[in-house]
Amino acid sequence: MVLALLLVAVSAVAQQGLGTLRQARVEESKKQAVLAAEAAAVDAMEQLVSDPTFEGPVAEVEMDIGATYSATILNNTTAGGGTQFASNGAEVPEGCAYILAQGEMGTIRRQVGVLVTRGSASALGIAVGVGGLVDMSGSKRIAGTIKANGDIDLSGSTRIEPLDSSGQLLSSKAISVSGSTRIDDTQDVLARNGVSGNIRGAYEINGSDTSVSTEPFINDYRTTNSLLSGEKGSVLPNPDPTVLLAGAIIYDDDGDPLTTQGPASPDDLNLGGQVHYFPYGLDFSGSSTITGPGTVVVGGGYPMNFSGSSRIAQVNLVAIRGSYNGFPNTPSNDASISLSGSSRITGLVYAHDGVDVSGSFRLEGLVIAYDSVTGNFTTSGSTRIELDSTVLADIPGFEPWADGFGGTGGIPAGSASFGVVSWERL
Amino acid sequence: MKRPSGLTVIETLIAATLFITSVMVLVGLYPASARAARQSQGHLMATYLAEQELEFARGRGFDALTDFGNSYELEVRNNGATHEITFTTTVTVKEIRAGLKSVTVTVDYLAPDKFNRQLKMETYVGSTTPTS
Repeated sequence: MVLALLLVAVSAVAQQGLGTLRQARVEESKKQAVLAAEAAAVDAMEQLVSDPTFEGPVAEVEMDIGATYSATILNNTTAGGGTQFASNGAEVPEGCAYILAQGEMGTIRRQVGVLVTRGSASALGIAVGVGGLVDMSGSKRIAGTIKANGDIDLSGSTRIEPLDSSGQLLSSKAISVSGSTRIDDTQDVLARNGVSGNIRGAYEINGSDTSVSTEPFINDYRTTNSLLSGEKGSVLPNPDPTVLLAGAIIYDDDGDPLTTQGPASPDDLNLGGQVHYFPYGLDFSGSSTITGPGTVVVGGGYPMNFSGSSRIAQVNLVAIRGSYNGFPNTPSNDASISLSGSSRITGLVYAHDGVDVSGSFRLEGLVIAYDSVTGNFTTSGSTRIELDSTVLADIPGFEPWADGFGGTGGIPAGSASFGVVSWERL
Repeated sequence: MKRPSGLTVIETLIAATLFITSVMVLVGLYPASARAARQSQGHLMATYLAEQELEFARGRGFDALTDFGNSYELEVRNNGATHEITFTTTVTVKEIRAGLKSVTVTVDYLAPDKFNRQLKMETYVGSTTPTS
C-alpha cells in the first residue's frame, strides 16, 4: 500500500515537470502554426494586389522553419456577385474577397480568415509630400509620413504617429527640429544631409541615409505614375490637365461664363460632385461656403486664397500651372494655396507652387506641394493632419496615384490596393 | 509448532529497503522535475519574446523591414528560486519575391539546465500587411 502511494507520488512529480515542458513546446508549435497561417494570408493578399481577379487556392508553401501553409481566396470583388459564403461559412459581401488561410506545424493546425476590400489601402502612406521644403511651427500632430525633397524644419510641439505603418520623417536634404518632437518607436527619421535637434522615440535616426526612402520624389511634371529605365524613388502626383478639366465647369470672377480676367470671389459654391475650374484664381472669404463633394481647381498658375473660418468637407483643392482650354492667355507662376484663419478640410490639398497655412488647420486627406523650388509647405499655428490617400481615387487625373506613388517602395501603378476589413484567428 | 505472528527481520529489511529506495527516487526526481519546470518557463519566455519581436517587425512596415537584434535579461522563478536568463534575439529578413518578405526570429539563451537553447519562429510580411 505504502509502496503504491510512493509510486503514485513519484510519477506525479515526474509528470509535472515533463508535462509543463511538453506544454511549452506545444505552445510554441501553436504559435508557429498561427504565424504560418498569417503568412499564408499575407501571401494571398499580395497575389490579389498583383492580380485583383485571382481566385482559388494559393500554392502550398513550406517555410524555412518547417511549417507549411496553404490558402484559398474567394473573390467577390466583381460587381453583381451578391453576397457569397466561404467554405467555412464566412459571409463575403459584394466588393470583398475572403482569404481562408491555414498553417501547420507538426500535428498542429491553425486557421486565419481575412476579409479584404478593394481601394481602401493607404498606398505609400505619405500624408505630406513636398517637392520643396517643409517649415512647420506651432503644435502639430500628423498621422502618416512627411517626406520632402528639400529641408524639413519643425519647431514647436510635434507628434508624428504611424498610420498603416507609415509615420516617418524623410528628407532628401536635412531635418531640423526644435521643441518637443515625438516619433513612434517603430518609425524612422532619415535625411541625407543631417538630422539636428532632440527627437524622442524613433527606431532609427540617420542623418546620412542613402536608402530609397530618402530618394527625392520625381517631380518633373510628368503626368504618368511610372518610372523611366534606371530611375529610383517614387513619382509625385501630377494630374493630366486635359483629364482633370475634361468635364469641368469654368468660372470667371462673377461665376458667369468666362468673359473677364481676375480672381473669382463667389459667395457660395455647391460643387455637386464635379470639378469647378477657376482659370484666374480664387479668393474665398470665411463668410462664403463650399459644399462638397467635388474639386475646386485654379489654373494658369494663379493662387487660391481662403481667409476666415473654412469648414469644407469632401472638397479637393487643386492649384496648377499652365494654360488650358485657352485660359488664361497670360499665365502666372503662383499656383499656390493659402489658408488663413481656422481651416478644416476633408480631401486633397494640392498646389504646384506651395501650400501656406496660418492659424488652425485640420485636414483628413493629404497635402502635396509639387515644385522643387516653389513647392513648399509652411504652417504656423495648430495643425492636425490625418492621412487618407483614398481621396486621390475620386479626382480625375489623380487616379493613377490612388494605389501608390509608383516606383520602388510604392505599390506599382496599375496594381490594385486592398484594405483589410477583418482579420480573424479561427 | 505454532509460527510466531509478525514480520521477520528479512521481511522488515526488504520493506525498509523498498521504502527508502522509493523515497530516494522521489527526492531525486524532484530537482529534475523542478529543472524541467524552469526549463519550460525559459522556453515559454523565448516563445513570447519571438512573438514580440515579430510584432515589432510588422509594426515597422514592409519598406522599413531590415535585420535587427536585441538582448533581454529576464528572471525565471520556480519554488522560490530565481534564475536570470539572457535571451538574445536575431531577426532576419529575406525577400521571398516582390512585395513579400520572410521574417525569422531566432532566440538564443542559456537555459537553467546550463545547456544553450535556441528557438526559431517565422512569418511573412507583405506590402499590404496590416500593422495592428
